[in-house]
Amino acid sequence: MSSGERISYCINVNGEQHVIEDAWYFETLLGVLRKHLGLNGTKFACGTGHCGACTVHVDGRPVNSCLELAALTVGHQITTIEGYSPADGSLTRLQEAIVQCADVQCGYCVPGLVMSAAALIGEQPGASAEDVREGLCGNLCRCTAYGGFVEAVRQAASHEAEA
Amino acid sequence: MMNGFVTDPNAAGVGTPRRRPDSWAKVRGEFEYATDIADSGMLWGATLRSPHPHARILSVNLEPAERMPGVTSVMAAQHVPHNLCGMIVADTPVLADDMVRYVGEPVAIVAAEDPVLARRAADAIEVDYEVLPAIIDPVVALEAGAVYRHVKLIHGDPDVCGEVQAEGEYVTSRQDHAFLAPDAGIARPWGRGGIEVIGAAQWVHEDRRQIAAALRLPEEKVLVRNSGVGGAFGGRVSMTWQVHAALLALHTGRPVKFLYSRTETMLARYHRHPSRIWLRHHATRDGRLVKLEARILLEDGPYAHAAGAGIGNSCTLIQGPYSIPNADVEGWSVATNNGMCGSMRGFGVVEPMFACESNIDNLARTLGIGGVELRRINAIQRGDRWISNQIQDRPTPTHPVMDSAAQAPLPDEPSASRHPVDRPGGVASPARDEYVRRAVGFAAAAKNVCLSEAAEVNSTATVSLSDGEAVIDCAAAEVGQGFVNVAIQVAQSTLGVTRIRICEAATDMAPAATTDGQQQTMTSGPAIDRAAAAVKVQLLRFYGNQHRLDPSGLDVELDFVVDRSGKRLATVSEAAAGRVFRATERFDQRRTRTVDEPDNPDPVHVTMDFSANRCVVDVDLELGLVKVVQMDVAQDVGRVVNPVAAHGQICGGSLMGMGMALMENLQSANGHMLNTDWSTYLIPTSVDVPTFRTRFVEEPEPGISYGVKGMGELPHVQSPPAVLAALRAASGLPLSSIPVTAEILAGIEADAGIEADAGIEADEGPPPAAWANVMPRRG
Repeated sequence: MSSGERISYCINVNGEQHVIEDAWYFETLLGVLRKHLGLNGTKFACGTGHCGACTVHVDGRPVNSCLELAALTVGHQITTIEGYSPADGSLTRLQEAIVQCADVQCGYCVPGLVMSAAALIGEQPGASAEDVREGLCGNLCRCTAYGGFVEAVRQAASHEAEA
Repeated sequence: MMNGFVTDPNAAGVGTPRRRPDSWAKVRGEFEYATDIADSGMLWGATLRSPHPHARILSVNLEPAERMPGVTSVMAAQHVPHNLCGMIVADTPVLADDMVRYVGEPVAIVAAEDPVLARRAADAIEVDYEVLPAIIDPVVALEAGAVYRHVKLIHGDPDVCGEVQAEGEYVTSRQDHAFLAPDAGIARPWGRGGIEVIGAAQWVHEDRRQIAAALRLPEEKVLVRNSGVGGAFGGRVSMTWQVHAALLALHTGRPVKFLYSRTETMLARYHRHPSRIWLRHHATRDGRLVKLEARILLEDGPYAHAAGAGIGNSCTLIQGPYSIPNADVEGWSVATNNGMCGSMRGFGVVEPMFACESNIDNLARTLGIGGVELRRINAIQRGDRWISNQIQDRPTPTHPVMDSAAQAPLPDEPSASRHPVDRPGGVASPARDEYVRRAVGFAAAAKNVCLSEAAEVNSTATVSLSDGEAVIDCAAAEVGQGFVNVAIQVAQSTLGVTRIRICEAATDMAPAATTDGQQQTMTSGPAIDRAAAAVKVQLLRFYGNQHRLDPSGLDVELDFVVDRSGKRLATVSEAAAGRVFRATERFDQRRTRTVDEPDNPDPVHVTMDFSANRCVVDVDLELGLVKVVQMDVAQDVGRVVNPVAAHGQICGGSLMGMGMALMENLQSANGHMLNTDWSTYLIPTSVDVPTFRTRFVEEPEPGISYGVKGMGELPHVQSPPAVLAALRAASGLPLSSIPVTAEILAGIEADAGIEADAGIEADEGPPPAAWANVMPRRG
């Protein structure tokens, strides 16, 4: 499969197997998602795992895809914002709460934040606003003061706890 | 965390919380940003940058890169048709020619089939440098006469002395915009010998002017289009990759994409200029300001670019929102080799407002008068004269903003059982409650709205109505601030039609104002209002003629043509009967003059806005850890177009200011930036954020559609001094520089500034001779 620095492999993204051909062995999951698969919803911002804009789920857990070697995700289930968002073009309850609570400005941080928040809600249904602030501190936003995001995630978490 | 705002997808018109048209796509990850643009068959660009703050280029050998497989084009200074660009002053080389003047200055560029190949090829280029001494201290730059602009501003009688004087010296840091989306974009061959450049811009027409000049192409051969912009904050006013990509695309005949890393984004772009400001307030014993003396030094990096505008703002706004009859103010913008400096949210005003407000508190302590009271006594009022000799002839709600913030209810005392995110130091903090002290600070601020000092500020917009839907063509850049929604809401109110969309800014539209200086809402907004009004007149005339009705008795409301009684006569779509109505209108802000011509009756600034912030902090005095608990911010906004967006601007700007007060400092040593990634350059997180309570003070701006006024920069201006005032109250330290780190608050590191009258001896020696020599003698 490998020839020098270039390798080929198969990864599972959003429930489908994708053949990645002729990739650099050191390419990150973020790079492969964006460059090879054209899944641009996952954002590149810092490249060092400090901002969370590139958050995806690997086997249901949130990871910074800029720190993950793509070749090492073979055999794992990767979910991106494209896979998380309803296929019919609608919004999940969490996404609906975010647009309602209004804090979308430039929005570059939002897909990663949605993925982090979705994982947080799964782990902590009923999370308080303070829990959400703690849980989302790895997702940087430069436009807002996080207020609407925190309220939206709290509402979605509260609904999850009641469900 | 918030005021309970909720967006409404069905709301329409000025004053409503209409949901942003782009929020749906953004939350699904479908909104396309500059980083996302990709063409099939495109090449990837990479840039070789200077490793030295100052050096002579002896030779550049491109050959090792040219030989590498997959490399299509390699270029250096000799390949640039006109190798200078810049916004106000065109003095910045597209690619360094004989000299490099900062670490990160572009020297050569490469296009290759793959980003890794491009990076390796750029790194293979051989450059011989003769390293030269660098100017890294702005005071040394002043001494050496490396001055871009010197402003001297004398107002009233500069020899008057007050009974009470307070002086201080204040230092601010190099702040990075830290927008989320790194610099990126694509250039592709276009038409016959032309070039299309798509990226994140704040002013597409100015980018086109500079790109065309550098390429020696007529402007009509260059099409600049704005993509989705992942934040700007003033950081996308000057170009980085744009001319490089255009050169490579023209040379190869293929699209070329650039995507900078975070570190490259920080090295390549300019930052907020570090400042050193001395000032002395003179007052009567009962607290009336008599005179202001100030000396302002702004570090402006190796190229002038837009340096002159920053120091002009600084010198006129150092007086704060106060009426001061006499002034002796001087400022210098100086050249150093520490990297580029330029516009950032609150350009040239964040720094003097921090100094002004800090020293007003110093004066209040000296006088024994409360800080809020001293500010109220001296608050500038309509009809007063600024030290620039401009008359404050527009609404001036200084007292309402001060009173609103000062009188807001205080938050509850900290409870021992509070969540860890609410403790100084945040989660897992070692802070112990017995060392935590709560304190309150207050600051007020003024900021110019629109570009100043003879800059032309105007926008042209086209509104087209077809089949009941209106389309807005306006080249005003949406950078995240929400202009698209402002534009739609204005058109909805004026035209009476709810189905409206706005096209992305591009240079094939008429020019609009730059998204800069918080001017877009009040400049492009009126152009859209006028165009929408003209379209409505056309529609009603047509419908009146068709139905033998007097158009003056008709109106459009909620997509229907109505008569005087409000009776619905026809839908807009029916009334138009298949026709398209279109109008183009231009709006010009009033003319302004430079600071240097005080006898010219024109104003220096188009208008001003005002705000106040009361900030509550908890400080662990043992460890120097800080929790900003709450900010109560009241802001003069003219009239609110969208309360959700206005609240978002105030909160986001105030948090950015809090970041500058507490953590943001792009440090450099010997001309090398030290913290060019986000593990070391820190910005506020959701744990750091305080509770925000915002209040809008609405006094409609005359002569502007719907009375709106710009508002996006002021929150950043008012926030740092409010945080510092609270930290001083908590710690008793003079704290004259920002950011205030835990080390400074805990007494481990010295403060960089000097506050002469605070009774604290400075750790540093006397300032260098050049700086001491610019001080006025003591009166």
